[in-house]
Amino acid sequence: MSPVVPASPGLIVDLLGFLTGTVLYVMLVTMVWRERMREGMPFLSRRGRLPLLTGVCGVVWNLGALASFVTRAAGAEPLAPAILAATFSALGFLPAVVVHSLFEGRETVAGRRIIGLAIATAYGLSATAAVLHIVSAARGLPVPSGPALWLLTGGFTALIAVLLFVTPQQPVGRRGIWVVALSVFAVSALHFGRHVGNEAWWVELIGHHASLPLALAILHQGYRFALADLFLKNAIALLSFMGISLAVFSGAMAPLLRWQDASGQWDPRAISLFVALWMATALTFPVLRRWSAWFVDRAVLRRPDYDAALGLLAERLETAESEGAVVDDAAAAVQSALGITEARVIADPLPDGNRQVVVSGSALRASVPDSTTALLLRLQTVEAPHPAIALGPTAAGRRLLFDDVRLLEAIARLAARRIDSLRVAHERLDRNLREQEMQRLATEAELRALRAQLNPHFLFNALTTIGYLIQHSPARALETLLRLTNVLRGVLRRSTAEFSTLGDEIDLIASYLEIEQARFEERLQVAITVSPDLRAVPVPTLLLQPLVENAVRHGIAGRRSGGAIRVAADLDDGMLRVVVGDTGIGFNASAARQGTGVGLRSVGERLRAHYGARAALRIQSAVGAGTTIEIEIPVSESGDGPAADGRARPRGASMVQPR
Amino acid sequence: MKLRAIIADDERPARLFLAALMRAMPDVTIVAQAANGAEAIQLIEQHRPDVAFLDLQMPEIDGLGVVRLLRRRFLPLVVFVTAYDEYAVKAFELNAVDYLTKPVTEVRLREALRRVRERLERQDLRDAATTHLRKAVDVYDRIAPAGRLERIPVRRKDDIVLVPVSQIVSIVAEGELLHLTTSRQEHHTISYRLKDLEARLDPARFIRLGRGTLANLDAIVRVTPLPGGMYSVKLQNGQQLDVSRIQSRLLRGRLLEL
Repeated sequence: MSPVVPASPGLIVDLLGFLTGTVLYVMLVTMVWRERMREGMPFLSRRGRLPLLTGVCGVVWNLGALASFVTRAAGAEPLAPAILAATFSALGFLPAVVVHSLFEGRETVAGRRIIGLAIATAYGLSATAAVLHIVSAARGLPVPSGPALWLLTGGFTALIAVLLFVTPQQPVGRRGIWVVALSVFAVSALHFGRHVGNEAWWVELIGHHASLPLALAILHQGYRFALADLFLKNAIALLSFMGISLAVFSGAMAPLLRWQDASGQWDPRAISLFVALWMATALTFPVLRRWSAWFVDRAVLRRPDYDAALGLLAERLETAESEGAVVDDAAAAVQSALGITEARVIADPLPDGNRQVVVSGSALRASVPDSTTALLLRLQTVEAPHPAIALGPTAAGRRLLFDDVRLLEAIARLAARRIDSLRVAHERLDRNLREQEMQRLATEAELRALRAQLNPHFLFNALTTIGYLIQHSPARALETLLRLTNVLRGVLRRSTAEFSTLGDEIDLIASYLEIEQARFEERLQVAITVSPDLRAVPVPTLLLQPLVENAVRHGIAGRRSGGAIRVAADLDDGMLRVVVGDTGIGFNASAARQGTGVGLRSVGERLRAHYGARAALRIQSAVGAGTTIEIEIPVSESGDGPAADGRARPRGASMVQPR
Repeated sequence: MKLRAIIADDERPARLFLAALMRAMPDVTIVAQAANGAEAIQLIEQHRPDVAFLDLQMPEIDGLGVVRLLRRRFLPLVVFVTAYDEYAVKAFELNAVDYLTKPVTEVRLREALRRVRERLERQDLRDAATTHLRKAVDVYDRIAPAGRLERIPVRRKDDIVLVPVSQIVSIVAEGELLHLTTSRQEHHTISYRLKDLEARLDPARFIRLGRGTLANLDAIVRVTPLPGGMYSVKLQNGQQLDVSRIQSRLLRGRLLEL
């Protein structure tokens, strides 16, 4: 059973400090390592090696110091000298890394030699100190080695002076940070050299935990580490949480810890209060995290409010009506939010070697800040083209950090979705227009077909008749309208089929003639005599309609007294004979020879095409006595295709002259 | 002042449809309705309306025929009515002649009546309309695919006589008029261009004798050669006509070669 060490503020500060340091450096190492893994960088890649080195040194130092401290506090055997030597060597390398990071990526700066010399000197000092520690450990001398610590203090103090001299072009703020960091380190090394274990708590804090500000200083040197902002936010949140916890502990919990009765039993109230306080403290962490994020964004990185920028962009994109406007808005948002000097829109870029493509996944592969290579922000739309925005370097010259890239991604996503929706909308509009056009064309085609078959005269006269009937006899108007519909639909439907039945054709011309009867009234008499047995006989479509139309036009319309139209059909010896006769004005031989009208001619041509010489078309006409047209077509017994073999014959239908 | 109108259409429904539209208008009154062209001429001369609505397609004497046969001093302002006649529409539009398409709409009818009223109020417009109307009738005859004429309507005092083409033995032009002579020794005068009339006659039946003469081939009974390779023909009604030099050659080819 080891003796209990009395609690002193210095002790608590050390314990917490080393714990915090361990957590922070482990976090740093993890982040850097993950970044390197994600980007598939080789192990010894230059990029990110300084943060990694810092993290590794910090972890070794803090773990070693923590272990040493715990063993000492517990009164156990001190740690092996070798471990102590490694711990202090790791600590000794941290200031060298700081010096190195000052100039990393700035090799073009004048006084390159001096810089190289300074870096070499820094590593030299650290290495010498490490050797001295190891030698001490090997010889059984006290570790850390006193001369090594003196060497570090003296050496780095001198180096600060030299560096101040060779870096006059650096801004005061930056110089301040590393000067303070190095100075603190130099002084703390001195502290370890005279460490006796009972100094005031603040001396312990500065002396032992100087590596924390060092780490921050290294990270601040140009943010070589893409997750630097994230790390800073976490670190600051963690440190302030530690401070609050410490304050709560010393102000409230430490007194509570004394609430023990004589037998050493804990007071339950004390335990409850203790736990409640602990929970309350824990609840402050999210708030701290937000504050630290705000602090890092605004005070350290001087970023504008990214969420507000995104909100504004979303608002503007809602009113952007073209892809160009969307990309322009996105470019403007990127430019103003990140302080980027130039944002150029590229319509549909092919990724090339000089430009990094920022899309999700490889987002962190952003270019180094001082390089002139542009970053390419690709708007990952669902379909090509994917517009892109070429980004120049930031005005502050710093690299893009985690949150910057996240902002870029959010902007790219927002703009890409808007473009997608615009494209879909345009496509829909296009499709609608196309459909309307198709509809229009279809209607036109139908009308053309209709016009080819039906005399427009018929249509307009029918409409006029219906107009009259609406005024005087609405019921008959409806009847006639329906008949007109029948005729139109019948003609349209037939415009695609070659054959229909005699029954359907008779129905069509019956409707047609009924409409004409409503028009000519008593001047037109109609007699249709077709046996129902013949209704199923197949006939070419619209074969009779032109004949009936002619009969009305020449037989009725041209005579004041009107006349009669007769349609009859009979079947005799496999031949279907259909007669359409009128009692109209008739025509003479020479007119018949010239072929009266387009309608009659096309009927003859169609008969010839379907049946060859087996069909006949006979015209009988006499002036003043009317005209009779007779059609004869063969009917196949089986009824399967009346033109099965007729079509092949090139012979004309016989046109018999009037008798 | 109410406009006095006459409507002529052989189809009763179409006529009554237009009449019903017009009756609903307060500023026009229908003084008569005609069921055919001859009736239209008679009624127009009887009632002397301000405006006549003439259907283009009527049996025997159509709307254009009415205009042609009306005596000049009786010619009212005319609005043609047609279901669908692209040639007529073309002729009318070329000559700013009013027309209505069937089914007639109230708006169009009102517009036509407004123009009629305007022309009635200004004599110059009215004269121009009459000139245009006659010109449009001529244009129509030229551009429309002419149907064969079987009977030619002619005026005889106040009547319209339909002269069968087969009875016509000769047609002689004199200025803007044509003198027809029938086999029954009747003489008629019509206002028509010989060229247009010739186009509507059967070329197998009528033959040109000169610039201003047509004769029925069946009516030629004797051909007398004249000095200089020309002919003179005698028709069955005793009419003697000279044949021009060019036509003499054609005549020889058609009649005198066995």
